[in-house]
Amino acid sequence: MSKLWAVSRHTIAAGIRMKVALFFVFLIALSVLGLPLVLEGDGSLAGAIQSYLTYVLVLIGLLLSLQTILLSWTLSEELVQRQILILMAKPVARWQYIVGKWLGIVLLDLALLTGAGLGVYGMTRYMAALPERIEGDHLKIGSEVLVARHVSQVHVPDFTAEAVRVFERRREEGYYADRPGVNAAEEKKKLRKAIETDWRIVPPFAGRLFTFRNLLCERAPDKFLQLRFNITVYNPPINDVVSCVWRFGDGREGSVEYPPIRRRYVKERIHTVQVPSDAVGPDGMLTVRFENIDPFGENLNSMPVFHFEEPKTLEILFTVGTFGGNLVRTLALLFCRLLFLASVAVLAASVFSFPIACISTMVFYGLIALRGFILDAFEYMNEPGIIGGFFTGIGWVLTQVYRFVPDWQKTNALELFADGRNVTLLWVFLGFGKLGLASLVLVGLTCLLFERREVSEVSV
Amino acid sequence: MVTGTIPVLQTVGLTKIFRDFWWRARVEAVKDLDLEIHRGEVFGLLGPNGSGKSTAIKMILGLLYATKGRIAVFGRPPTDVQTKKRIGFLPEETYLYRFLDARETLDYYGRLFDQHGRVRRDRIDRLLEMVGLQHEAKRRIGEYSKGMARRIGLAQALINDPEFLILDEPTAGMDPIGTRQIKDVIRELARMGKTILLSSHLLADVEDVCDRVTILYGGRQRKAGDISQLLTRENLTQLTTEKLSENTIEQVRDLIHRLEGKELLNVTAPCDKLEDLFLRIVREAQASNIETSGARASGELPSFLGTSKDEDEGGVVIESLVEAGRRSPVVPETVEPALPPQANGGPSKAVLQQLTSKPEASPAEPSPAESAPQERRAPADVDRSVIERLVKDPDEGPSTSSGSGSGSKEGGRGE
Repeated sequence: MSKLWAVSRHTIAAGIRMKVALFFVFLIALSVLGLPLVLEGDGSLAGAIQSYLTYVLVLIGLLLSLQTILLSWTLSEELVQRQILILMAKPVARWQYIVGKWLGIVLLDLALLTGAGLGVYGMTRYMAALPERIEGDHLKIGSEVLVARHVSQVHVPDFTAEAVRVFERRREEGYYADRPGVNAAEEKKKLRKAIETDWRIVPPFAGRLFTFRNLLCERAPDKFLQLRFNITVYNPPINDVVSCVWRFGDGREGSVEYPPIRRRYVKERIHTVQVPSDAVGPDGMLTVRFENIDPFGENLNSMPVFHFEEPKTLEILFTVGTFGGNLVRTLALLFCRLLFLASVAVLAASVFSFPIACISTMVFYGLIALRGFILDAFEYMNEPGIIGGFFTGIGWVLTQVYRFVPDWQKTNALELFADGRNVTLLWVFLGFGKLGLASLVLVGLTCLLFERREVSEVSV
Repeated sequence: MVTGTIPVLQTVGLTKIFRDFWWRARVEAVKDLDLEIHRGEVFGLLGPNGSGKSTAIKMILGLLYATKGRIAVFGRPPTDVQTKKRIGFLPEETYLYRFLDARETLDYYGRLFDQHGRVRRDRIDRLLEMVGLQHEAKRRIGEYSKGMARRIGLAQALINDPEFLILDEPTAGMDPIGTRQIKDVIRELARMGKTILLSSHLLADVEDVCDRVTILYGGRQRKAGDISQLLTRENLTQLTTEKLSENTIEQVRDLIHRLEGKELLNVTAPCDKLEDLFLRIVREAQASNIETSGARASGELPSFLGTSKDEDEGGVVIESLVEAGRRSPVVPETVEPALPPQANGGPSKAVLQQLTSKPEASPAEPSPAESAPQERRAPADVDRSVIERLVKDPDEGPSTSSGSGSGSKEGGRGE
């Protein structure tokens, strides 16, 4: 262990003495302290903080990824400059050398990430204490930004049985008579989707009952949940302001039924309504009724149609943790990525010389960071002809490669974190489990390759 | 633990063929090399550039893999990590970290031997003193001259008190003082029972310190044996007297002719070696306290050297032996006559005694005095022409071999 630590320590010293780490410390400090000066957000203080948290963590992740890639230089440099000859003549096993290098890079990342995290925390707290830019800013910051909120999306009923029923009825009525080759399963799937869409649409003078389940919150009249929604409005009024009624609770045993709440909203924006937590039943179920009526009688001649398009357009949130804890978990997920990237960088550096190793790791980094975009792009270019076939071929190869690479996006918690949503510990464990395991596999592979390598390289 | 019968190094049919990108054999850098080095020997690997010396050493250290043949170091494969605890290595160039200072460099290598912090610090101090860089310990290696870096290279090779020291061109880039100091260190280490493999194309270095040599050319072993036997010209006799008159010389010439029927071939006044003259001038300058930014006069060999040769592990055991070594200077008072003065401030009498007195010698092993060579040749009375003929650079004269050209280029650089 002391040999591992000696190699790690030396790698850290190399990173610092050769000013790689110092350069990134400077850039990270600049990001943490300078971004608030240039970000405006939506004009509110809460928006500015949300923008800051998003951008600063993206920047920190990017900078530390670059640092990780560049620090692998210490390995290829030792091979090129031949310090490895002295090193491998000492009683250090090759696996100890590789793991020590990896550990050194990872520890330096961890140190900088910790420093950056403390900086972000302090800066955010400082910003939150600034005067409000719009009314209610501090309240919003406290309840929607600097918190860790559990999110529960609306429960969507299973419409399969109804889809089957409709399909059978249509078949009996001869609806499919002129389409003998219709795929029954596919048709039922489409029907189910159509029924669900109908369910999400609330026509004029109609209401819809939504339920949220497993809400393990504290139930008390002075505690509130947040109903967060974003409605698509068809046939909107000229001023884009619509009105509706919300009803919370259903009076079941233990659930308080509250009187209707009448509200006006600007269409297609995210809105939040406070829901008393004792409207939730002891079984953790909350009933919410949405009514498309015009309680203020402003648009009775031309009533709009409301559509809750996707699951995320209607959800319940409630506080389960602190901003600090959420920040730590978000950074932990970021660290998982760095672990993995460090193992890729060390593998590349043990095989290639410095510039090639860095370039290949950067290409790999780009491929995994832009996975979704790249696959979509190749799918988009899937056209007939030689060029289309070429891109299809590349897309297919990339898809196969991606099967063996952990999905980077699954450890991306930045968006949720900036939105005050809880980054769960389970998520962090899964991140460490998947990326940590993948890292160990790569480091093991590097050790095997390095074991066979003649460290005194020969060019003939 | 290795017994006394196992050679420190043994190679059998050692061959290294370098291949190109397409895996075609391009250079036969070493061919069928058989070596056997025993405890306490100073063994010279001699040959011109590209003769395969460094390649052979890298195979011995497990840095290159042999294409054919077998290597055993202390009876173990060269890649064995435990064996490397007993080896010290100075490569042909001092590949050190430019961003570390001398102390940090030695500290790093000391840590790789699991050395206890106090032992490590103590050894570093003593080694810095030995190589004369205690005053430059805080300067980064990148600022060092080649000779200074070479000294640190030697210090790192000794940090673990190795039983087997492999020195590849140890005096390359060093001034005559440094060269002399290195040779003194090698001699003293040999006297302490260390086994040393010295690779060089500098004939004087090898001749001054080695017991046996192998001469390589084109990767093949051309000549091997005891250096005194190789260099002695059996058909000549040399007499050295105080200055004689012309008349006496004529009488001697007549006497030889009369008694032996042979001719007196050469009568000259012996010259001082340029090395001796140079060292004398430098010693005078040092005595006048003239400032220099380079290495100071070398100090004494550290007392820890030679104290741990019978055990493999560092840490507490080494520490106890070091402590024992510190007690040993009590002994010499009763023993030694005065040693001749060192030309360069090399190991003093007391230090030498301290170095050569072992606190505890294992009964299974010969003592350094027994295993070390009993006598070293005086460099002036040998004929170098044999070696010179063998190692003559092919570019400077007719080729003596149809071997594989000028040998391998390792990392873009020959040996």
